[in-house]
Amino acid sequence: MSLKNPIFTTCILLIAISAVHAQDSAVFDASKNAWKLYYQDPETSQWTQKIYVQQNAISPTIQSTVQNIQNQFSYRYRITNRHDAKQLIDTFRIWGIPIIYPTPNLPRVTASARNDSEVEDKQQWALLLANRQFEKKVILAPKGWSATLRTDESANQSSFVWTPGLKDTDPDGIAPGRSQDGFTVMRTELPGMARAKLTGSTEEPWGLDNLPDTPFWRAQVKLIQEQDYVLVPVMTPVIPVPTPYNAAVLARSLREHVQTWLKYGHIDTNTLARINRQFDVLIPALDIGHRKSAVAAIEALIKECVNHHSDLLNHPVETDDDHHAATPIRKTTTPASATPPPVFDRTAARALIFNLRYIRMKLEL
Amino acid sequence: MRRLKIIFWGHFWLLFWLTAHGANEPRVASTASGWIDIGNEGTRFYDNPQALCPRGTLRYEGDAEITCSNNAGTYGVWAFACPIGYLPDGYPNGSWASKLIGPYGLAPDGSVALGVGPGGPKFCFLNASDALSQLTLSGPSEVTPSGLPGYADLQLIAKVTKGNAPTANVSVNFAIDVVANTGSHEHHDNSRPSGNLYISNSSTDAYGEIKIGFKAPDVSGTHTITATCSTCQNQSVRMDIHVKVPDLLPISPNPPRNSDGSYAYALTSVDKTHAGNGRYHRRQYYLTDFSRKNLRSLINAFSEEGWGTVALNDASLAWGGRYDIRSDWKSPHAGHRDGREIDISFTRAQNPISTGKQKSFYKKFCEEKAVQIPFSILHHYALNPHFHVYLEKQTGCWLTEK
Repeated sequence: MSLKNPIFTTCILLIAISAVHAQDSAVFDASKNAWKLYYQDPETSQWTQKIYVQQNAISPTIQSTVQNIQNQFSYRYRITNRHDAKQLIDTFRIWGIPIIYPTPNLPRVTASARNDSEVEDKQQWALLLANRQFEKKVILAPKGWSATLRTDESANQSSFVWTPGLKDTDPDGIAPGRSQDGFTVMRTELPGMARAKLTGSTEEPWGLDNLPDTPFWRAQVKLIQEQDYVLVPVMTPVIPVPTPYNAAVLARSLREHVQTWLKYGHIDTNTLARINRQFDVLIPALDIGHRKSAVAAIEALIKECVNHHSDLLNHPVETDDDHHAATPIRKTTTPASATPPPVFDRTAARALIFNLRYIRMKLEL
Repeated sequence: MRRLKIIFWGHFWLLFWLTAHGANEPRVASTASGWIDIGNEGTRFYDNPQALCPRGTLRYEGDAEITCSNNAGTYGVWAFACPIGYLPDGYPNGSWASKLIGPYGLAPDGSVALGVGPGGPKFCFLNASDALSQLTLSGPSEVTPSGLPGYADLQLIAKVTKGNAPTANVSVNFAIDVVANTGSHEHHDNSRPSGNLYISNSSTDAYGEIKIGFKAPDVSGTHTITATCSTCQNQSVRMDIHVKVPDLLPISPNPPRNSDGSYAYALTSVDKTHAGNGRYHRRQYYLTDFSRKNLRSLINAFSEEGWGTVALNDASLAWGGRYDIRSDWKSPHAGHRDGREIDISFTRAQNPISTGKQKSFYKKFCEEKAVQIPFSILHHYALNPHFHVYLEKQTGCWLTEK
């Protein structure tokens, strides 16, 4: 048989064409904010085309407020999806919080699954219910939404997550031009900064399911997922109050936390350096109980904050109900050519002032 | 003088011969407290060597050689016997000149005829059973079904020994069979996938060994490997290999109740479709311990969200491997093989979640629970839409802040 045989030649050409055509691809269509994915279905082996719409066509702002209520700090969040949004906001997750929320008094699991699986099963259920009861006291949801505390042990991170309820009468999310209040966390930790990850509602959020487990698709999924949400800075409980109370230890925790702000664009290098210089005065003063020096350092730190946001000067102690709504920030994975970070994020400045006033109030007691 | 020389040399050679043949230094034959006499009449046991020669004088000629005579000074009839625990050289295929005729006949001189000789076996081998070629088959007795992560073919070794020494060039044949109704498959027919043996040589090597590879099928079950050797005392040996995923545990059939009194979950894969026409798969709710724990968390989270009774379809069979829900040894399940996946029905157990809320449900559980429980939830279109949940192999919704 040779290439002169027309049937053979046609077969070869068809095979060659199908081989060229059968190639993994992921092409982004900016006009539709969607990816056109072409792949071989791992289950059916059929070449399949799928459209995956990115879940980032939302325009959120978040107001964070903190208030001391009966020895706990109540963190409340109000989310607005601005008019220019194309999708409903259907996930609100504050992530990247260090794991500082252990569940107290958990029942123990003593039975072995291998020896007595029924007893072990019952003990595991009791453990689950205890965990859930704890969660319900910590994180509260507005009507029609549900909330949970997510723990990523491998990453040593916690998240507070809110999503719409599943009853047909529950909302599907926050529509463009609408706001939702009532996302609440009750904790004893003082405020620090975290980022809220928000996503928009699409028809097939499972669109990245079942792609082939190949290096090409793993890289593509990672790329798509990294663009698939919007980040907004929020205040959240991350600074533990030492028990028994120790102002120097608290100040050290605060200083350590503030160092993370540079990475997430809440502060610039020069401002952080000035703040660190004041912490270097404050912490030794607290260590040796030199109240006057400590207060002076606190005032200097607050002044640094107010220099950037002058109207923050008159906030009451242990309450921050500032109406400022934080806007989306640049992701750490986004190229530096995107929107530059602020010199000192207003929400971060508020968190720092809140903590400094707390330390000063304790000094005055 | 010449006659004296002959007598002298005659006595000299006689003494030399007796010494050389151990007549005065009986070896194993005289040291045993019990005896085995193997003749054409079969095997007989005696309490002491003299019992072989009840009315005569016993002489040890070698390991296996004894003479018994009623007349002192003359050699009687050769007997061939070994102490208990020994066997004569070459048994049972030795080409001895003499034929043993059994212990109870009388020799012409009146001695007990233990055999006719000389020409019988000269040596006794330690350990009667090892004196013959022995066939053994060894290797791991369990392997996961093929196609699962970490799967590797098994290596078995057939070995032929005599005494403790390996025996080379012994031909051994092998056969493989699957035991019916094993591996949680309560059905069996000729199309059932079987494991395969691949054999390096048909005869033993210098180490007395033949190496055999065992490639498991993707269906669990017990395989019986039979090795046969026509020249061995034990002409065949068998070995069972269990093709299974180890340590899978059942989902409890006793679910707790939700706050409204409904059951937290129901095992719904007991219908005609999923149980192989209702008869053939009755142990299809098995998971690893870790997946089992994750499933509980998942069900609890579902219940919290008002899902109601969570309808659990297929998990894995008790021994894992391919779960052929139609009892035909084929798919549709590509997964459900190692106790780390389960299907959750949208429609069974009167779940109140509407189709329109499925996307909310998916995102909620992917985003909120995936890590904590942890699992990956896959919206699955095969057959009827349902959630296919990876209880350990998480992929989606796995992002954490960097």
